[in-house]
Amino acid sequence: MLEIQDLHVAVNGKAILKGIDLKVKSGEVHAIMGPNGSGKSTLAYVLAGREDYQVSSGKILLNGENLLALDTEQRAHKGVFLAMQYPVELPGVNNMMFMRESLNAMRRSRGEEEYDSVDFIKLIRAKAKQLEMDEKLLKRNVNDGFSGGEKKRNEILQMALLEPKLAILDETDSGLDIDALRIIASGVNALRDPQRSIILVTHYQRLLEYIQPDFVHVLMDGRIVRSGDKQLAYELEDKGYRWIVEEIAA
Amino acid sequence: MIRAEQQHDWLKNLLNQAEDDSVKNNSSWLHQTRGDAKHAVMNLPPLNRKQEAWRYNRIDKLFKKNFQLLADNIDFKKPDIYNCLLPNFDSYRLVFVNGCYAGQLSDTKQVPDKVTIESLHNAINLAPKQVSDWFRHSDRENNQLFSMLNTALLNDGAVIHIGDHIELDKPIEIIYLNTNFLNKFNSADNDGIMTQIRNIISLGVAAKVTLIERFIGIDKGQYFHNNFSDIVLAEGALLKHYRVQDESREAYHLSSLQVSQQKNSHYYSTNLAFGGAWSKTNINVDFAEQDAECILNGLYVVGDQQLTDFHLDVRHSVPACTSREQFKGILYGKGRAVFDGHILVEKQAQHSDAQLINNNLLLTRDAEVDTKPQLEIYADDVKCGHGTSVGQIDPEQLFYMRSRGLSETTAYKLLCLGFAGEIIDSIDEKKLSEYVTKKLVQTLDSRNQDGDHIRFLG
Repeated sequence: MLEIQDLHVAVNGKAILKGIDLKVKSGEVHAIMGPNGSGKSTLAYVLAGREDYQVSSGKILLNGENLLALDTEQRAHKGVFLAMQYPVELPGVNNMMFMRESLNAMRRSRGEEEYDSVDFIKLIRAKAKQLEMDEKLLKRNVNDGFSGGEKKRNEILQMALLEPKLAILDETDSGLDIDALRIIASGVNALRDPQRSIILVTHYQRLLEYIQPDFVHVLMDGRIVRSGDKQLAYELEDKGYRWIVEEIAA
Repeated sequence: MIRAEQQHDWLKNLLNQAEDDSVKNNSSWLHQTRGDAKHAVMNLPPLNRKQEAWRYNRIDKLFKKNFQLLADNIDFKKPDIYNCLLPNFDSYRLVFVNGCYAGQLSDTKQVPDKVTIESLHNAINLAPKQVSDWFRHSDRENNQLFSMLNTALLNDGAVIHIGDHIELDKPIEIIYLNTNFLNKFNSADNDGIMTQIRNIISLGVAAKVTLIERFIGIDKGQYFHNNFSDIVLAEGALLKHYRVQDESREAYHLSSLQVSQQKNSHYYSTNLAFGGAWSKTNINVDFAEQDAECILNGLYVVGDQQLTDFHLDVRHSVPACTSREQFKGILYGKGRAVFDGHILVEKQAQHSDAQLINNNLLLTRDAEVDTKPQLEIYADDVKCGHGTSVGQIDPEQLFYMRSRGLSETTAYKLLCLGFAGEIIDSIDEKKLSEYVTKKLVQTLDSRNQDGDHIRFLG
């Protein structure tokens, strides 16, 4: 279970998150919505451990363990996974080799046996097939020259492979056509699990039609200003974010 | 820069040593040629930093070294060459230990007809007239200090000739093992031995061959390896030439290559530099006739106490030739590199197609590279371009990889291997490219020894 307590974060000296409180239980899917610049992506990055973001106060606990004391890779070993809004290209780094290194790094950290190349190829092919992903992408370099949709699919493939305890999907729907969205959503839905928490960071309600959240939170100016069930997302779609601003003011 | 008198004394000392051993040479023309070169060396102007080739490359240290010539073919303990061989790699092999041909370590059995793969001294015995012609030809433009010294103080070298229309069934490998004999040659007044290798390589019409040269420092210690190769490609010939410089980290290494290409010939070379305290490689390519092509690729990995210098000079003096140069550098610690790529397109060389790229990855703040691309174009209908970059590892990439559970060390290593991959992939011999990849991983590991290993997909 993830527990965020009164989290304050600054980027380049500027306060972005101004007191976030959030509890995500195992098995739950939470959507975090909000206008541009509200701090959604910052929250996602801070959870994954980006070092240039300064946590000025607050706590982040994953199953009772203090995440803020851990390095990026240690958090990954504990089961934190961030599907990025703009997946990074790694020229010259073979996709399949990268994913095997990644999975084996996780397994080593847990004292589990590593995958050899033959078994790994079988595993990754099966996972790619579920995501209707072209096998050629496995042989190419990580995200190098991939289309927007291919990059997003590659992120979900990594998620399916690494089987995280906490998956954070940052604007995974952006830049996807409707077919790609459907495939990715079904990939994410297949990963819904009583042992797994999922946070969907999204600008639009569209994604939530495909991946139904248990809870929806609205983030504005670095604070969660409203929480509710998926109905909240429909209301936002109807009335826009201004509606909440006005309600708060009233 | 070191004073002219000191350079003079340095040369004098070496040439005096050479006086003693000149008698063992049984060939009068070689004796004569060496004698001429000795005189010529002393009359050369001293090197200084105003000369472009030495602007960024300080050689003061070299001129302070007291190198000794190997007067005789000392019967040293046979080095364990099997550690140095590529596993299960079949080649015609010439091995030189400290500049002396080691026949017992070489393998030139079953060399086909119309093919010569011999040490220089053996070749002189077998075909004196032919070899003297080739040698004189290789010496034709010799006016540089170290190539002249190469002639003056010559130890041995390789003579390779591939007859017309011959496509050799396996690669030729020249291995230079350099050792300081467990410090025997390093003492207060002695900084190791200096060896001169001269290679004469010619490919006949439409001949095809792969040549691998590997320079290996077997143990720690200083020495100076001075290598000069003359390469002539006849019409339609193809030479794939791979050079791996893995000298000891205390060594001085100088390679000069002079390539002359006839019509429609192809010279594809990949140069890797890992070792040496000081190493410099000069590659000069001359297009003698139209429609020739050269591809020069390179990778230098340079760390603390190392200076690595590549100096390329491609001359388009006839029309319609193509040249591609792509060199990459990975620098760490206080490593220093110099890249100087010069392309000359003369007025009559219309339809020349030339490209020059140099990319550098600096892993540390203290590493330094001087990169100097120079395109000198006098023709008006040409396609020429150049690009250079000096950059660091992108923190976004590091974060991405670490968020996937990889340690920072592994992330660095994968990114460096990715950066170098393009160059290593230009090696068409799988066993050699695997060896080079392993070598690169070892080098990067020695930079940061935390026992973090990576395994590759087979």
